Amino acid sequence: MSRPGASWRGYASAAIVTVILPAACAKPARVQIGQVMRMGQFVLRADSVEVYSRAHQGVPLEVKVLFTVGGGNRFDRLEFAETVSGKGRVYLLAATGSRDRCWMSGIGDDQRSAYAVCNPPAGSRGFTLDIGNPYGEPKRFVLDLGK
Amino acid sequence: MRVSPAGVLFVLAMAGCSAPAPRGPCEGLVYTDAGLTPEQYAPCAKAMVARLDVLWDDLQSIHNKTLSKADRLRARQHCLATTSELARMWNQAGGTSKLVSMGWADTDWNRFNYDIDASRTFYLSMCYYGAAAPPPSTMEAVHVEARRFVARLR
Repeated sequence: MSRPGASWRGYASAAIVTVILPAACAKPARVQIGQVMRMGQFVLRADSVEVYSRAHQGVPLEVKVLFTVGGGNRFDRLEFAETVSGKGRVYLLAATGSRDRCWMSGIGDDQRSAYAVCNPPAGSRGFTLDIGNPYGEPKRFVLDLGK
Repeated sequence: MRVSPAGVLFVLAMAGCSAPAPRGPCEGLVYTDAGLTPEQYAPCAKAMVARLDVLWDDLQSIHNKTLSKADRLRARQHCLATTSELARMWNQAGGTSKLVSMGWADTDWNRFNYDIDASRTFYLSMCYYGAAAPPPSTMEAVHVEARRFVARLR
């Protein structure tokens, strides 16, 4: 006869093995500007980053990352940028401690370019972009913006 | 109650045999660099125009003072339900970003998509806010243009 509570300890152990450990062990892929990120049939590459202020419009700091997008047709690429922004989610992490949601959008009729815009608090620095990959592994890319 | 493995297998097999829900005319459309092909998009286009015609009839009933208040309210509810149905079809076909914001190789289709979008948005506001007058002629013209366009399709 099993002791009371033993089955719950079994369930907890199973949960740790099947859910918590794999989640903790899934490391994001670290990439730099100019390196390729593969997401399903698409290829994303960060080309440049700008950090500027729009204080005259009430925005103290803005970070804009420009990307090149490859793969699929232009309608697929349009959906890709929307999917990464909406489902994958893009965050800007600052060494000063902030974490802000960014918005990504395709550019132009051919959708071969895209940009992500983030608005961190004033005085932030040491930026990395955390990009969710809704198309499979790795689950996240961490892009060092070098600023 | 004891459930036999054979019973479980039978239930699973029956679940697997159930017929899938029929696909709507705007579902599963595949885009190429040129947009959608007319052959692929035509059934969806016709279905969306048919919904606009229903909306138009509902709006006429909403503003028809000879009808009872209950009938006009019913027309408004039907109008709102139809706008939801049309919005679902619109989104299944690709949504505003693919249908309007992106240029297609055949600009006549772009114009058609724009006509549908303008009409449906306006009719929605007419249904929702219950404007005091029937739709003005400009929006009616856009709807009529879309109807003419699909009538020319084979």
